[in-house]
Amino acid sequence: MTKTSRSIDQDLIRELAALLTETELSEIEVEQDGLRIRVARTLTAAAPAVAVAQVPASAGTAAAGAPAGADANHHPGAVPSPMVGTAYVAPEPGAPPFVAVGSQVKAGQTVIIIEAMKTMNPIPAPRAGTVTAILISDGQPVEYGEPLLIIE
Amino acid sequence: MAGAATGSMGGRIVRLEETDSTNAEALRRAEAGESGPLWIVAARQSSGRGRRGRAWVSQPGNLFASLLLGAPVPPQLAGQLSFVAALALHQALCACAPDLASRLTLKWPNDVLVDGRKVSGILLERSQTAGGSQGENAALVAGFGVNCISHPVDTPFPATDLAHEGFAIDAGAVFEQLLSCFQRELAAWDTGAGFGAIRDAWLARAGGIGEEIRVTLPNGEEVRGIFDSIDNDGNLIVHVGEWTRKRISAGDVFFVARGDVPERGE
Repeated sequence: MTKTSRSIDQDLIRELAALLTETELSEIEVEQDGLRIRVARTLTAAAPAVAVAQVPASAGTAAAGAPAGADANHHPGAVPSPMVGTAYVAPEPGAPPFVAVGSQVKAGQTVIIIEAMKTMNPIPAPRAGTVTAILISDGQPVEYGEPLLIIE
Repeated sequence: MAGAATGSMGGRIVRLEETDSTNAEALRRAEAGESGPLWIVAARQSSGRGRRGRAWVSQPGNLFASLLLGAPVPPQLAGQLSFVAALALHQALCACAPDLASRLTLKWPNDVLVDGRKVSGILLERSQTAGGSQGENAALVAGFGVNCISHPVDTPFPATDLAHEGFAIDAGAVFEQLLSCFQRELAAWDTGAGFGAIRDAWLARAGGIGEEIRVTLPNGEEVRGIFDSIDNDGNLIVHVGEWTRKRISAGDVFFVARGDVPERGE
């Protein structure tokens, strides 16, 4: 990462984080110069799941309160998506979510559904534990290996 | 009368007078330990379902059938099955009524259309009883609803039924063809190894390639652009700008030029 792009990222993330709070949106994603940045926060959580994001020093405090999903990749409790698709946090629109931050889950319990081409795939919790962060919003496209949530 | 029989292709067939949803019944049986291939066919559904909790209007006389697959399908390949299922149904309808063939097109990912109107719905669902840490061994069912003698009105996308289009084909006849066509296409698909040919066959029958479409995404977003193709996983590829293509894994497709867009300005 060059010094130039790093400073651009900082400004952008700072701006997006402010916008996120101001608009009360759950997520903002932008693509600029081949870089895609997504800033998301968990609306169901009383407090933003700051602990999840191991924000690099270079980003400073800019993204505090708005953890970027990419940093959760390395979290030991991250549950990665086994497929490309569209993620849902609830069985259907308007229904209560499968889990929320703070939920205790059992291994095998459905935590997310991922749709690909009208094929519905429930994603099970790989282990028992407590959900400490949900990293996707309802109806969000996800990539293979992208962290969906954190179970600790 | 309910009854069970062994199909000519080795799978079992369970015929029910009524169930809530053939997909739900197939998934319950899988969770109770039954293995596929197992077809559930019902004369009536009390709560037929579509994507994301939508209801599927299930009038007697139409076909409601679900196949519990016999072999596990890896999550990243599951979406390809939509195209295998759509092709099989397309072939089944052609076999039932050769004169219908020229009027049939496919709409992403798995709708069969007669003169641009939806005559069927296909929904694939995996069991919530996990098999494997990522659900990779969980049971998978492919559910088919075919409008043989009636269709709902006031649907977001225009619907029709076979009888309305001048083809009196009963649900049993469609099912008999679907049974063998799906079996054949599943073998050709070969758990993904044969998807190239499935994709080509699907594209050759797809309507609206090169035309403007509108796709409503699950998060409420709307994408407008030119229907380009489907990728090697089956994702819809839409040209949204001269140099920009968008890949879509879930959404409802409408054909703009054919007037399928309800709120178009005129």
